[in-house]
Amino acid sequence: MYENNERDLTVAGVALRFGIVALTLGTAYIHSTLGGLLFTLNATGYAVAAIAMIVPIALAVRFRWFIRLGLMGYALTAIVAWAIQGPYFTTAYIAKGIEVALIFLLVVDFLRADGNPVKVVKREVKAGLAKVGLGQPETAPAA
Amino acid sequence: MKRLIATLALATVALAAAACSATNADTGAPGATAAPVDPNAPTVVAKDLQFVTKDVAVPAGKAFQLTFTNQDGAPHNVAIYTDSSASTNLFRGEVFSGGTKTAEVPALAAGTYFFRCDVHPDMQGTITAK
Repeated sequence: MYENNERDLTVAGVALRFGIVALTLGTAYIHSTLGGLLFTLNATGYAVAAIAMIVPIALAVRFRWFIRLGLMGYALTAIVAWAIQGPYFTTAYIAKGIEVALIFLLVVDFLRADGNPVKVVKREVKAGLAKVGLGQPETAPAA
Repeated sequence: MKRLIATLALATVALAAAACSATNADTGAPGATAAPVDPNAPTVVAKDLQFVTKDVAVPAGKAFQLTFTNQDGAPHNVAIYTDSSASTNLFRGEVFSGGTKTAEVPALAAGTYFFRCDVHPDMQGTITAK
């Protein structure tokens, strides 16, 4: 996986991660300026996700694939919710533009780091089931 | 591929930086008026994520000017709907942060209408046209 190999420290890898964090903090900042509980919670969620994307804690590293997917889902939900109920003003369009770019970078990062998302989810589900005694964990491919 | 990804990352970071500098740059929304401002125009004030003015009286049957003062750093607007379901919009004012703007509102038939901030729908009030 990404976190265990040297690809993460290439210029492209670092730039990609930097871009993801910058965009996440960008949209967090915009939401924090809007006031109100909902926007503040949304901003907090983005800020936490930005930290989770780079924090070198073993648990976060192990589940970075899930953080990527979670952040994609979070941004997608924010876009869909806004598309349905608005309001449509300049700052909102900018925030949604950032979120679209963020999802794009997250997809690229996921493909680079984890590969096929379907396979990753299947593998993790199998591993989870195996932990509770409901199957065999998938063997890791030979290096 | 590496160059492409690096370029894309830089472009997206530039986009984020532009967004951060543009959060208070909402201009040009419909409803802003270039006509002389009526000093007696009804005024709505927003402060601390609430409308200070919750009841506004306006003349029925003729267009009028509505002055909106936003005393918050957060963006607000005044949008008028037929009722509190907010399903039929009659007027949507510009969203802006901090400041005062006057907008030309189309004529309303005599009756009671609902207004709110579209950004913060909990901010609500009533307009009575008579």
